[in-house]
Amino acid sequence: MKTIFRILAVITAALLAYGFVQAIFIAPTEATMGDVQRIFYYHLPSAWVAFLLFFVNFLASSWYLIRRSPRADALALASAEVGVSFCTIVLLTGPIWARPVWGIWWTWDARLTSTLVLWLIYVSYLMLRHYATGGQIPVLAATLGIFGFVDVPIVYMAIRWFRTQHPQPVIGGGEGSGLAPAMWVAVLWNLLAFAMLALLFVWLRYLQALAEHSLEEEHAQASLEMGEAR
Amino acid sequence: MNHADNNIYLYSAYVVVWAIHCFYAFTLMSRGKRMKRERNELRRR
Repeated sequence: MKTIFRILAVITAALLAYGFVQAIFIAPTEATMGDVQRIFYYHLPSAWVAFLLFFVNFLASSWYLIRRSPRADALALASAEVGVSFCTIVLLTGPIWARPVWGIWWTWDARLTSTLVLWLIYVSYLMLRHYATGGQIPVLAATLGIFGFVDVPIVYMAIRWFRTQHPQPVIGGGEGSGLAPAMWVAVLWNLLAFAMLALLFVWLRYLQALAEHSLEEEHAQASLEMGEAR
Repeated sequence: MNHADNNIYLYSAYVVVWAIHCFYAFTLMSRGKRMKRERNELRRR
């Protein structure tokens, strides 16, 4: 298992390096925005990876409610935590791009606002798991994870349903929208690299969540034994 | 728009991305070490 993880880590590092080269040096410079448009090669893949992780959280939460499996609970926690870190990147790189292009850091349009709400939902999920106590926490968290996921399609469709300041979709946005083929290459390499990085993070966090679970059981067992000895 | 002036935004965005990923990786590693220590202490007891 450790060997597979190390091999994947080396592959991921190579992919991230190549994705960086693609984004900075190989992808063509956008005519209107110039080099600042290259932020997009990290912004878009991070958003897609965050959506994917929240979907994994949705599936694992549903599975937990049906089967009460500790493994499903651990996967839900791991995917939400890594998803929040990717969603944070989306929310920070967006305004850094918007400042030189729009002249403002932020606007309360449907896409930006729904993304912020998405981030807040999953931050509250993590806070619930971290600070609340009691045996029902995984059930409450799973319920929040399932209903929280409803915001993901809203974020995705926001630029199709509403007139927004955010740029139009790069897929299925109609005539005149989309990306140049050379730009797609950089997007896809970075998507692959960040998806691999997310996989490694989720894998590690999943194992830690399972270990935390068994450590709690060992703690409970040890206190029971100490109580009996007295 | 002066493209050269905007490079600071590009570099800032890339620094932010890598800072977050490195911070998260560091958090995972330190949590792993802490758990290993806790487990060893529990077993010693």
